[in-house]
Amino acid sequence: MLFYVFSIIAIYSALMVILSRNPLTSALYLVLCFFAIAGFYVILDMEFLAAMQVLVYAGAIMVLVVLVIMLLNLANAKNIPKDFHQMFIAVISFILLFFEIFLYAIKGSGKVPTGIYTTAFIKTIGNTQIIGEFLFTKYIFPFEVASILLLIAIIGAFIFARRKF
Amino acid sequence: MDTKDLLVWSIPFFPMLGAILLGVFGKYLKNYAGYIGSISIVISFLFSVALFITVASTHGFTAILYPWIYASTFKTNISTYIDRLSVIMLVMVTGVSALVHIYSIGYMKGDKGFARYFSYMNLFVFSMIMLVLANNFLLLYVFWEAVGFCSYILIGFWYEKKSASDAAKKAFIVNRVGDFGFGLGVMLIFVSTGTLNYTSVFGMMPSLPGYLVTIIALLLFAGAVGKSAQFPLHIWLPDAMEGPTPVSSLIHAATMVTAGVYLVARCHVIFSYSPFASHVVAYIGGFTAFLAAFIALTQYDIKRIIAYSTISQLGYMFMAVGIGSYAAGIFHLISHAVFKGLLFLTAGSVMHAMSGELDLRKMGKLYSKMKITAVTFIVGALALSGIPPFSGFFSKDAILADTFNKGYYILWIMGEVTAFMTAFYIFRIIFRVFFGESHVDPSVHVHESSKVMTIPMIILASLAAVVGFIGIPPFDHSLFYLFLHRDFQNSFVFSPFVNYYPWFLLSSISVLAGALGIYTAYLFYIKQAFDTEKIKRIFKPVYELSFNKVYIDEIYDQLIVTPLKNFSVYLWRVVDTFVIDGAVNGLAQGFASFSGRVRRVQNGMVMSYALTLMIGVIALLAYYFIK
Amino acid sequence: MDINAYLIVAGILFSIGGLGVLIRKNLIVVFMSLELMFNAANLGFVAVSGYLNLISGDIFVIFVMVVAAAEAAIALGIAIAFYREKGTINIDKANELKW
Repeated sequence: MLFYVFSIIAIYSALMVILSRNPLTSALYLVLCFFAIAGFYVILDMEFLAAMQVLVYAGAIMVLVVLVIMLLNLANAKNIPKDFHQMFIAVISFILLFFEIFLYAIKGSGKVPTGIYTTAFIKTIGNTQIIGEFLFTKYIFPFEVASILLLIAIIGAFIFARRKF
Repeated sequence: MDTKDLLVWSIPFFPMLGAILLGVFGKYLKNYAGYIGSISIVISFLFSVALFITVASTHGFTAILYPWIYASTFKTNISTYIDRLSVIMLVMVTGVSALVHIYSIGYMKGDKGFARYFSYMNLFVFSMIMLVLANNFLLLYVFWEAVGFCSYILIGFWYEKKSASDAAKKAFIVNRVGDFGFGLGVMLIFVSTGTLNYTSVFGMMPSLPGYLVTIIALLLFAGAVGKSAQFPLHIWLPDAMEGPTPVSSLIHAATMVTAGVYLVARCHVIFSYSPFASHVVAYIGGFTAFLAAFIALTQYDIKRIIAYSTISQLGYMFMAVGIGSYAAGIFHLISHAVFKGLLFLTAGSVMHAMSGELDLRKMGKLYSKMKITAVTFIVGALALSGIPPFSGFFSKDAILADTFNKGYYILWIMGEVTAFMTAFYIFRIIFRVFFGESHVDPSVHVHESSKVMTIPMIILASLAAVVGFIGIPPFDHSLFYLFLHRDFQNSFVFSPFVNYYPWFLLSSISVLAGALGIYTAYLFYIKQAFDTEKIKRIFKPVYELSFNKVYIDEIYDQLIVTPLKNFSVYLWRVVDTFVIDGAVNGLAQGFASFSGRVRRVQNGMVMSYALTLMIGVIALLAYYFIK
Repeated sequence: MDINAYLIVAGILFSIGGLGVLIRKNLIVVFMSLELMFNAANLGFVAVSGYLNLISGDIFVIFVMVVAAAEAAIALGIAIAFYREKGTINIDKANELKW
């Protein structure tokens, strides 16, 4: 039941993101969509990810986006002409893409669970601890690489936003 | 690599070094170029003599420098085959080369291509040494082409002159015809025996079917015909005289043109197992000897006469190797190299004195002005005519006696007639150039050449006088024969002796022929016992035939050159213009219009690229789903 | 809930995001659509990971979030630079990718 509620909220707000004329409205609908997705994570017993979703996406990234919209004063930049030719091809291709995703989902539905981390098992330890253990043992190298990526992103953002090159 | 190997590789090394040095730094070396070029050859000569002594006292060996091509069963080394035949050739090649190089210092003095000349000459000597030393057919083929290339660049040395560059092209193209056969021969050897190494190939000859041996022998002989200017590919050699005279002396008389004879002698096993091919060699040699001497009778250009004489003498050598008298052929090769090199050098000296004039009709009475040249020329001429005790007598007689004693009477008669004509045409030069009345242009200051030119001439003249003595006692008991005989032991005897006439009987006939030729020339040009014009008129057809070189050039022109030219013009005008150009232009236009359409995809819009990328993703997903 | 339901919702979100990338001209909205696509993928990861009783998918979501954060910093930097260069954030003005 909860699943359908979240689904409707997520799809509706996603549609509004791409359909609303004001970018600030889009941004707010996107935040709503992220909350809906966080809700899915809770249903899937991944509370840690749900928290991260809210913190990182809704909290950090979307704040950044809204900040940029305000910085560039874009809230009323609406009069951008539409390219219907491109739109037509895009709609057709994404209907096709969705169809393909659907086909793949059906194709993969025969898979049986192989792992040991059943919902019950995760609940005995707690999903935060499991993710933490994985992140600092098995995935330590990607973790370090990710930290370097973030460092590079900081430098990159700084260079791009400088007034002069 | 032991000392013997080192000795072997030093011989080609110095000319190669000289060629590179002079080719790269020649511009800065000025007059030293001549000394460097000559010294490198002299060193090479000294090493050759050392090698000769080593081999003469012991036996032949194979020296491997490094593995060249190793491809499964096909293995070829850069390696040499040293036996008595190759060391004799080596000493001859480097010796004559050294003298010609020294002579060239004087002859080429002041030429703007001085360093270039010595670079080419050193390159030639290097190639020739390697040709002689090679122990497999592939290496032989490579350097066979290399000497041909050197011949080409040296004939066209004065490339500004159209006649010189034409002559160079002619030489190269005519050689190509022969070399094509040679190349096929080498391939056939590989296909039928699976190896190219001399020893292995020769070892397999008796087991091959007769027709295959004959084809191989004839294909190899095709190369020899081209390189050694035998009928029907002899036409390039007289034109090759456009090059500097020392080049004619070294390449087109003493060394390169004899490579064909060397090839047949080297492959004597192949030829001896195919009597048919050997007889083809012998009869082509005999016919060429006769034909070239006949043409030489009436020419007016000194160098051309000597060139025809070279063709004729090469014919003798082929006659010898064709009847299985390999040692006699090589003997004549050696003595011919000496006296023909000498004749060219002296002709060059005359030419030098006459400011480049070569026409017999514009000379005369030069004896008093250039005694050394005249005397050395006469020595060379006597050797060529086969007058004892000069070298030509021993070597030519060895061949003629063998043809008679082995029962090739037609060849013997042709040889004797040729001997008569040879004596006549060479003394015709002497009498018209050095004696008789002077027709020299008074503006020409005739002078004897400098010492650097005359000393090599004198050395060669003394050699031409004495080198024949290695041929005594005559025939099969001579020093030379006994020395070389061992190398030819493994050949199949297909032409045994049928007569055993004593040597003095046969020799006296050929000496008589030679003397008669000289006497006839004397009657014609000194005594003027006959009215030459009247004789020309009486024997007009014969005279015309000889004067126009038996019309062979014209026949080739009509039969081969003109049709080929017309066909090429057809190809150019019709096939090239419409078919090739049409296809190329059409293709280009097709691509142009197609890319005009495709260009629009590349519109620079980021979003359209994103769309394209998306379509690609969809297509890929579909592909993997179906797969 | 059945795994396919999650995947279909993820697919719908992904398609909507992709559509937004292609049909919107506003650089900021395009960027937000991209974030939507990321989230659709994340949802798929988590759903499948939970279905297969694995934990790797969840870890991947963490990394995707890291990449998304880095990307947000860079992309918004680019947006500012673009605006400064062109005076607009209409993505059709980014038409010089052919030289």
